[in-house]
Amino acid sequence: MDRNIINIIKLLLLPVGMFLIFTLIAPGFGFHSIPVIISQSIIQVVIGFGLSLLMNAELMDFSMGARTVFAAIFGGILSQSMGMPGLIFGCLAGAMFGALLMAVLYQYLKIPVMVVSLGIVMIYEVLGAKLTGSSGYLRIGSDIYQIGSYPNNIIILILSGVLCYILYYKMRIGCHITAVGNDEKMCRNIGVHADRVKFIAIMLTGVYCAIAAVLTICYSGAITASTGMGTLGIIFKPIMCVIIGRQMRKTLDNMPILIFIGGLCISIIFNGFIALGLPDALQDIVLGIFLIIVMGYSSNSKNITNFYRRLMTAK
Amino acid sequence: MGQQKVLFEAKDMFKSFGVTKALKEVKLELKSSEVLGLIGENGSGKSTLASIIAGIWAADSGSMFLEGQQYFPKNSMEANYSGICMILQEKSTFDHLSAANNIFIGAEKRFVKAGILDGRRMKREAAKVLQEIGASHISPSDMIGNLSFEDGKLVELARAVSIKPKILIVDETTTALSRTGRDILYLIMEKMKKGGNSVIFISHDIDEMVDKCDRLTVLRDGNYVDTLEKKDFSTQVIRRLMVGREISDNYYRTDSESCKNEEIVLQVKDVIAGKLDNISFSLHKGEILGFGGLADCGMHDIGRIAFGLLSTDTGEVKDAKGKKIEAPAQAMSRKIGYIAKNRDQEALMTNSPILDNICIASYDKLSKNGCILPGRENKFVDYLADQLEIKMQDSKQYVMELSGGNKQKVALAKWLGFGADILILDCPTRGIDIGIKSNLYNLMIKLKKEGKSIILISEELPEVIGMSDRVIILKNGRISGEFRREAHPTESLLIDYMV
Ligand SMILES: Nc1ncnc2c1ncn2[C@@H]1O[C@H](COP(=O)(O)OP(=O)(O)OP(=O)(O)O)[C@@H](O)[C@H]1O
Ligand SMILES: [Mg+2]
Repeated sequence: MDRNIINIIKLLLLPVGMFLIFTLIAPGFGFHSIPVIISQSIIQVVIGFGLSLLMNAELMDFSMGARTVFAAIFGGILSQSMGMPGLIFGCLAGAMFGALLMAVLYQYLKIPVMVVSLGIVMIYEVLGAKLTGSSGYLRIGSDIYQIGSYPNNIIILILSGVLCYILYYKMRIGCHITAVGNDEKMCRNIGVHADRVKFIAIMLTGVYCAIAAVLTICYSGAITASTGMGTLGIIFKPIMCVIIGRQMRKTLDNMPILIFIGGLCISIIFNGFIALGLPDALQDIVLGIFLIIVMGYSSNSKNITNFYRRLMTAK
Repeated sequence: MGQQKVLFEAKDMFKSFGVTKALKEVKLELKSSEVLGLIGENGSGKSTLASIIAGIWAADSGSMFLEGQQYFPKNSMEANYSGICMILQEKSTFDHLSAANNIFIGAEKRFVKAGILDGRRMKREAAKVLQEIGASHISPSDMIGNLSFEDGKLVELARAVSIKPKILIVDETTTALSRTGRDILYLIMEKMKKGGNSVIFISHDIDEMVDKCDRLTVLRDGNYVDTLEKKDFSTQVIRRLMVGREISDNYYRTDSESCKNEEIVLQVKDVIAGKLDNISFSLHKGEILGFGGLADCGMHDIGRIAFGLLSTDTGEVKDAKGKKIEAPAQAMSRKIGYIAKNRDQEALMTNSPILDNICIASYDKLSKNGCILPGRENKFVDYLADQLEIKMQDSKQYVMELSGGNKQKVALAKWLGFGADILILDCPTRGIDIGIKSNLYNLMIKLKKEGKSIILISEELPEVIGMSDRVIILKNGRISGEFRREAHPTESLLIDYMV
């Protein structure tokens, strides 16, 4: 069999194993939970696709959640007068505007992306809240949110994964983003424009925010504006998806699939613990521990195998 | 010769970095089908001039002509399009990209159709280029991070060759290469010449320059000194032009007695680690122990195990008292210092000032009750910088702004200041000019007289033979020969043991 397929199966053992464990120990958790698990992971995986591009360039962005919510609100408002095209156009326009603002601020003011992104979070949260009015809440028609609910959301996920794959492996920008993350000074020597590459990377996150915005508002048919840095919670899980994905990169060089596997794991853990009746706070602890274990194992896998080898030779 | 047409010309080149005047009215003329050597002391402006020609820096003023046309590259990509390409002194490959991606970075357009990159074709082409230069042991899909330093350099060479340049600039690359790597490079240079193209070649090895170059342009302190024709080449003249004063011919040790001290300061026993396969040796007090071998013989791992960087699978490394050394901190507490071959990444913090780089190993000495004393720090650095003649603006300058050879001196200053009893030097004269080289050799002799011990790992056999009390030759990770100084081993004898 193809080595890549074997590697994918190997990596899938992680979520499958976790799934089986929860099926055994958690009453009410089982095969019927699979649709929930997948549909819950979709949004964070899509945001993860975009985020991973930035993280590959060694940039960190906390604003993708805020940008997604803002784009969803904007799309939702346009959908009220223009229907489905309004939703799509609004999400795209809102998200691209968000990305552009960030890219321009970064480019011309030379503020680190992470700092810019925190500023953006505050601005967009307030803008979103203003757009939704006093209720802070926006509902869209059921005929409209069809495009982002099952099974369309699966199709959207696959398409955006394919896009991510193309960006990473089939276009020069993916290679240049990695190069910029590797060593900016060297890029300059070789003639790759680091600033332009980063600009494009930030703009690409806009595309993923737009997709995530459509999915978010269609998930429940409504969107709630959140303020006080509340949207930071959205970005936390995608960050973990990407980190877990990057750790598995040695086994399989296919970021979209790895991010998806990371998303599955996180979704299984959350749903599993909900099924076990664990309170919210404890869930975060479990998630944190899981992250540390995965990272700890994969960053030390060489040491661990060395350790075993030494144990064997000692015998 | 002499009738060839002029391929490239640079006139009245000026370039300053802050208060440092790196180039002052420098000129350079390159004919077609020639190898032009560019030679000068550390910091004389060779890399700066080369980088300007390759479009990496812009000159402050001056004009350049390529084939009679005004040439003014805005960046290195444009220089590449014009057919000028440079192998940098420093490592310039991307660890997280494959060899194929590294070879074609910036030039992927060739493989793009309707926006989509044809990765397979790119890999095929990369394999072809690697094959062409004789580096087919590197696979196009290999991540550079997993390759050795030398193979990384070969990938850079492949990148340069793939551009099919009219002018190839090779900045201080040979010292990063083993014999096979050098042969690959020389062959490329030869091919360039045959095809009517030219090479600008930078190296500190005068013999190599005399051997490979058709003409030599000498720079000193950012000034143009002279250009010599092949018939006028003489080591003595070149040295004088470079340094501005006479330098003795003989800078290696003159005695032919090996160290007779029986006191062991470091013992390596039955070690299997990295590329090393069952290595045992001991280092004595006041001894210079040289290691030589081919590129992948594992000699660079010797330094790493002795400093506790690479842990051993079996066997052990012990100090004078028989205590094990398993980590760099332990090694340092026993006064062992180590300079890695991959200077920028492993031996220096290039994003920090010179001061911090030199002081970092010696904060114990430089502080009182846990507080660092700036006065003491400055004195310490000034003294060392003075001793090693580091060319810098002041000690607050960042290491990344220094010329290659001066970076090496900063790494050395760190351990000299630390007062190491055992110094492990992996290719210590890499990119160092002859003046400083002879200073370094004198310093090694002085340290030896003071009872310090040195492990010298080097690709340069004359240096290993010239400086060591004992030479150990490695082959495929095993010791294949050991020679005492009084046996007067010759280079060809050692090579017999290497291959
Ligand atoms: N980016 C920079 N910023 C500040 N100063 C610099 C920079 N690059 C080079 N210099 C200075 O310019 C001078 C010339 O440096 P250059 O690298 O051209 O020397 P070199 O002849 O290549 O020396 P070496 O043989 O050591 O490589 C040095 O004094 C160096 O410190
Ligand atoms: Mg240089």
